[in-house]
Amino acid sequence: MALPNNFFAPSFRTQRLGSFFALLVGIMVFLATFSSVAEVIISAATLNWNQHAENRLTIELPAVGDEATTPQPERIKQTMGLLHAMPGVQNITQLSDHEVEDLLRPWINQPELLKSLPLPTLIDVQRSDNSMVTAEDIRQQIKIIAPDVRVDDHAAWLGDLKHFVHSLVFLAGLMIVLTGCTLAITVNLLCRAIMAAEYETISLLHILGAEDASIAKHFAHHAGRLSIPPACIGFGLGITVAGTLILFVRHLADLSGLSSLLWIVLTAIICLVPVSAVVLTRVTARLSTFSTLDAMP
Amino acid sequence: MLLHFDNVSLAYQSDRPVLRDVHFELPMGGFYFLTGPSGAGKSSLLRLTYCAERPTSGRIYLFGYDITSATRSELTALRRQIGVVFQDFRLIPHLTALENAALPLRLAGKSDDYIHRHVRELLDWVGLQSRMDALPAQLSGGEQQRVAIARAVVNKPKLLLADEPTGNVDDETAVKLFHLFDELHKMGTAVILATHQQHLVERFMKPALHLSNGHLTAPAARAA
Repeated sequence: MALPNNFFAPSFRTQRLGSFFALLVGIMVFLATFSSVAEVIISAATLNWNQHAENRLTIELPAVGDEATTPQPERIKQTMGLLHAMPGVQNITQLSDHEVEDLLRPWINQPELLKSLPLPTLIDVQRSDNSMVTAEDIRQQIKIIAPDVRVDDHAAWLGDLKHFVHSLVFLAGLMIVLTGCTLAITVNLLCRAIMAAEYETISLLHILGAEDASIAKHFAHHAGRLSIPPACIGFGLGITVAGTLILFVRHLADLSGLSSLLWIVLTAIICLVPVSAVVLTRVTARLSTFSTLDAMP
Repeated sequence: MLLHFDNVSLAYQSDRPVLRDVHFELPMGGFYFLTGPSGAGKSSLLRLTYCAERPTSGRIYLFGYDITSATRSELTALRRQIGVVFQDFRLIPHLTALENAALPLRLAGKSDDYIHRHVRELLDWVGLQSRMDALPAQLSGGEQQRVAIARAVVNKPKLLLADEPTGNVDDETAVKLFHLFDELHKMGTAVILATHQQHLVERFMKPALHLSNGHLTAPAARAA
């Protein structure tokens, strides 16, 4: 570096805006880290849901009385046979009575009542990834065996949930962009304020033969250095708070199915937040300095 | 010709020109005093010369280049061949005398070894061998001005501009500083020294350009 390393350091240290800037960097990185963690966790959970539920549907065969022409076991047997023969159906599992009771327990928490109720038979169907079979196709075919059959396509409710989740991810992304913009504006203001305070020194450097690039490099260096400690603190706080919240809501999203490679990628993305903040600070400082120097003789 | 002002005018406000049709030439190795009362335009003329201002009209040729139409990078290269001394010294307060004097060499990308050796020699020459590590606030006015002169000449400039360099020092120190400028001139550096201290101008017997109300009223017929 052409100038001594500490050339503009006193201005960056003593300017009140410098302290304000450090505080703001900390807050921005905290918010961006928190948003990134939220975005990553929500996206990962959505991916998990997609893998587990998107191609699934549930067939409900209501219980029939003893007087019915086709008894329930026969209806189940014929339905299973039809589903096995159907192209695009990958896997079929009949839920046991115990599993059905477990599903109803949140609403009917009386074992005696549950035992006495005519529970429907539930069949979990998994379609292959490129399957063209729709819930309506299946319903039409099973209707011949069981006219009262109901087919619940998970993709329908999952679609609504995915829209909601996508909105959340978009909001988190927007928050990251806004924090980035706020940081850039703050750095710009800081550099302009310091350049205004250091106008005479910068003029002198010009007279002594300094190139704009050299001055801009120093401003970028000092702004970058000033942003490192608050960026680290903001990142640490963001991770701590987000981690604590995740502990509280971990039952909402089972992330255990994610591969270790994906975890490494997601962690790397989150770790990029403070690095990006420092890089953004340096780039903005450099560009702001250049634009201000351009207006000088 | 080292410097040529060709009918140069400068106005910060359109109705109040600071310099009007200034025309003069400075040959290589020449010396001019630039005299005139406060507000006559001496500093403005120097600012035009070290490219801190652009003239409102006219042309300025420095080392043969028309600086009125030079690009920023060309101006940077030209400024590195000029040394400037200010009345208020304009030293960087948190840098030592040695670091202040070394600034032009650092900006020119010289090696630390070269800077160390060369600047020490120069500070020794201006009589500051024992004050190299002092901050400007720890130096007297005369010492600060000698650091400023060392900074101005450390790059071996072809042209040295001094704007009231003795304005903030006592008469005895002023005479010593003038001798320093005279020595630099004798070593081949062209000098323009703005001052309103007429007795010093008369004592050193150099040609003078006199500015009054923006007009060069007594252009020198010859350079020293």
